[in-house]
Amino acid sequence: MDWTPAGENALRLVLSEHPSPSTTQGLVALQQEIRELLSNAWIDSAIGYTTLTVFIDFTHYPRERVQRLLASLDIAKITARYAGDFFSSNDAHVIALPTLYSPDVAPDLLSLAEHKGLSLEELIAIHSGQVYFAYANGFAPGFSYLGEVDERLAVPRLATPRRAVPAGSVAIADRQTAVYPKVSPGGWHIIGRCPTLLFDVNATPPTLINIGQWVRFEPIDCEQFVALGGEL
Amino acid sequence: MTESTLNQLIVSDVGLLAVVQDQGRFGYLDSGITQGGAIDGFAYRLGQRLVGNSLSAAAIEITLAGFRCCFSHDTSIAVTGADAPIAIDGHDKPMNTTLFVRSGSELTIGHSQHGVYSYLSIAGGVCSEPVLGSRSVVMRDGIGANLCPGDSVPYGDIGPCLSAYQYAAPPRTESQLNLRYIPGFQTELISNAVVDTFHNTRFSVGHNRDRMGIRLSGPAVNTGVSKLWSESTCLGAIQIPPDGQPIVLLADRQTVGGYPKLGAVLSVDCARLSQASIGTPVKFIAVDPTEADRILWLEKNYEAELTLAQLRSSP
Repeated sequence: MDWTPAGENALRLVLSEHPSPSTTQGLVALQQEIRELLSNAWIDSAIGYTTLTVFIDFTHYPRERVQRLLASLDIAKITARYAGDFFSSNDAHVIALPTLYSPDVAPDLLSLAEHKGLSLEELIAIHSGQVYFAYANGFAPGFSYLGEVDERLAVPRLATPRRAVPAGSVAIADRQTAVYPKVSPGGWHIIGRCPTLLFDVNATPPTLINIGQWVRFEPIDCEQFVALGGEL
Repeated sequence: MTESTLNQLIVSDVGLLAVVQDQGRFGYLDSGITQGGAIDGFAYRLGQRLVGNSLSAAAIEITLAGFRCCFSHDTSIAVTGADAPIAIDGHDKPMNTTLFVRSGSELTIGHSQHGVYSYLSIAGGVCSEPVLGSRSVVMRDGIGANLCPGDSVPYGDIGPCLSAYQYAAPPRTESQLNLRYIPGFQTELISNAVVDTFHNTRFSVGHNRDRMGIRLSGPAVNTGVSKLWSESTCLGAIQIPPDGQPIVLLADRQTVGGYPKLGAVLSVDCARLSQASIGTPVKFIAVDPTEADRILWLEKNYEAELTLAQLRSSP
């Protein structure tokens, strides 16, 4: 496996051809290992679906030495050894996101159900009836790409993205689902709303959902939604 | 310290956009938090040097034109970046120079003649509250806010600089931009013919530009790459969306993206691109990483030498 340049101060590794929870777990393990190795020369790093990109201060640690160091890593060994509780899909470690599935807060809920030939109850049962894996964070602070959505709910993005999707909107695109942490433009189909704060600059880490964690959506009613701080 | 003794500048006009920026925010890409920071790093660092600040102090980045403010206490300032007329209490002043301002003085920065981003640096730096290790504002992410008329911005209470410097540079206007970039990402998936055409094409700076990136226009680049798994972007990444018009990603870029990328433009050339006016012709030149290291090393020393020259020539 080759580390290739990603601009003047980063190197990138494609760990596998297709994403999977085990690929992501390997990327997380590798990221931790490299961060420690690079010490002060580490600037930042980012995990994609199949890639790890590490930003490095090459004035601190010359490019050639970093290349040699990274080439010498036993990637198979590092990626295999990490499997803590953090990655457990056992219920105790799954992040529960209370979600109000209601047309009042979700403009695409009824149309998606109709388009898919499902009743509202069936749609909710399918979406909330499984756990999802956080493959990557991006797009906006605290926005996690969660997968994989049941094939029965998979739907392409809206032809015209909305200019402003309300904060907390739970949405679907293709076989991914996500919660919009704050008001932003968005092209995913909105099926619910979650009152949980997903991003807080004063928290460590600032995101509730971190790459490699498992997430579940829990249906709640209007009353619970308001009690949890949601605004209708 | 009471409110009245705090050093602050009172903003009365912000023009198109004025935001506090420093070097940017690092270490939070996996939370989806972008780097941010001054778009024209060269101009930003020059300003910090002229007022004796550390290179990580915060400045005010002004887009295109029309900034006005008053200062509560005597201090030193410098305006760098886009070539704009500036005045203190109605008297014309030079850019790229350490300027003394008195308590109550009014600074005006007019419409830029060349360039897009100006930097107002203040001795002691802008002292807004840092968020996750940086004062850089990223409005899209809800980190900080753009300045509005009536805002007061705290600055360091170190007083005016003891000596003044000037950097007599020719304005950084360029009739053609040669953007040096390191090939990478999906380049190997793209045919040599397409890459050759990309190198021989003269693009131009388009209208669609902001702190996230600049869209170029020209003949469509057909990468032939369709399905990609989203991955980290980087400063200067050359993204090719389905319409084939390249987008060069800048400081406030999205942290991950799923468009094919041909490589990434060097930071020093990103700074040049950020100041280019709409329609400026652009060509891409591939450099290997070792050559890039050399270019960046030279640029760093060039910047350091600039300051030394000021020290020796100052009265």
